[in-house]
Amino acid sequence: MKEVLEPLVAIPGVRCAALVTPDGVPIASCGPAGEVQAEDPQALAALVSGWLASLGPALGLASWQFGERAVLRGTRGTLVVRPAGSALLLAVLEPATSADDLRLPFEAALARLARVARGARAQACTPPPFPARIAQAAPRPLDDTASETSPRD
Amino acid sequence: MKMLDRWMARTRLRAARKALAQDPSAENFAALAREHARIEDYAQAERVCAEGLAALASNPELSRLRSRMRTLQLEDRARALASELRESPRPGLYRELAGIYLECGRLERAEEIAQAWLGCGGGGEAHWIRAQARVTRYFADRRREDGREALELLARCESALVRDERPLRLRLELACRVGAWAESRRVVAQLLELQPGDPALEARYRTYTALAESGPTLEAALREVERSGQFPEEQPTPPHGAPRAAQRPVRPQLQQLASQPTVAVAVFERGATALVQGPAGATAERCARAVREVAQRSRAAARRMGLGSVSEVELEGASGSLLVVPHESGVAAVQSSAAELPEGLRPALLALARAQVESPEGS
Repeated sequence: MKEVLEPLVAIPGVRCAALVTPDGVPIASCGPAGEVQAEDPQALAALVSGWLASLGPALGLASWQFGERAVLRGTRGTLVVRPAGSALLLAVLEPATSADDLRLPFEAALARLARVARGARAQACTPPPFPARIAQAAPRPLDDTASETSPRD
Repeated sequence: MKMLDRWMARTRLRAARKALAQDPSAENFAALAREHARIEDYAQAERVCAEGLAALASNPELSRLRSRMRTLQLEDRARALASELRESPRPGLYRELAGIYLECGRLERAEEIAQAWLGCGGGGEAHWIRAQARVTRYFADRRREDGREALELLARCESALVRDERPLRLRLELACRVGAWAESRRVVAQLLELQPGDPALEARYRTYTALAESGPTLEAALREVERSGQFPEEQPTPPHGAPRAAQRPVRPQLQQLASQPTVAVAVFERGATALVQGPAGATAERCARAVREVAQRSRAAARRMGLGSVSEVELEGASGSLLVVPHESGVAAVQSSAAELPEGLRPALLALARAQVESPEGS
């Protein structure tokens, strides 16, 4: 999953990016290369999921549905959250960075994530090869006599 | 390939310069700054932004670009300092790196560097960096725990840096912001011992002596700020008599917002009163409650996440987009049926939330 997040954190102004489950468990997280990650991914994941869960009933009062993108802009940074399949993709930005500038990189990250998920699914669905095929695929020894074993009694 | 890149960058720079000479607009200044940034000449990009800001004062895009260029330069310097620190840790490097992190607002990193410096015998200066980071965090998040920690670190600084004014000045700033006047008077008295006869300090001493009787203790003041989320200076003063000249009626502004083609709901709230344009009756009431809840939840969440005080909450989804702007004077919000917020709506809403407006009447 790191390959999904690394291009996001390489963008100037992105403090960290993470993939978390909707109930607040971090799947993967990434900070800028060569720097210690300031945000604790576990705490961040829990707080973001708590915030989104608390918004649900509030928005339900007016029958509003805003599940596509959430941006929380503060004086010391900005949080951007997008749903990514059954997970949430989030990034924390520096105060001077605009969340709108990250729309395209987020789309790209979501596409990468979908590709990774498809690849993992295809790998999981592919049946294991039969033993005979494994034997065929294995390289034959150069010296045939060396591989011969003595006949059993 | 690199040569081709350089040649193309030079061509683009020349074109941007020519466009700027013909039309010195904010867009052209920003375009030239971006071209410099593309070839990683951040210093030149910052100079272009400064020139643009001198010509076209307070252009938000140029201000943002300038601040971004400054941050990028500082990040470059921070990377260089961090690698140099790994090779040969020295007090000057620790001080500069922590200062850069403080300037960039990366308080956790500044505190980590100060902690590492303390391990290498940083002493009072390292405590001073930690105290600055903690006070800045307290001013942003307003959590009582941060305030207490900041005061403790300042006390350590004061004992380590004898006859140094800086920790005392910072303690005075903190005490004044929270409205602890007795503590402010005590700190000013200490400062007067270092600078006897300073007229500004003497005037402050007299003012705080007058206020000290009615003011809360430091602990009570920290508790009150955490509870209300506001420093005393930010709390709106009750209006006396006629509204001031700067005050503007909120209803026409809201009506103007609601008249935009895609806007379905426009809300302004202050305290328990709300003004809603768009829906009527129970629906309007529910919209106002939803906006209030979103603002409250987001304020608390942002403080816990270390994002400071909330300036905007933007939500997008099947119902279009919702922008909520919480501010000391009230909460303003618009719900638009467009997937992305229309251009020009955001500045209008920010102006509404931040302007000194009359109390909304009725809902």
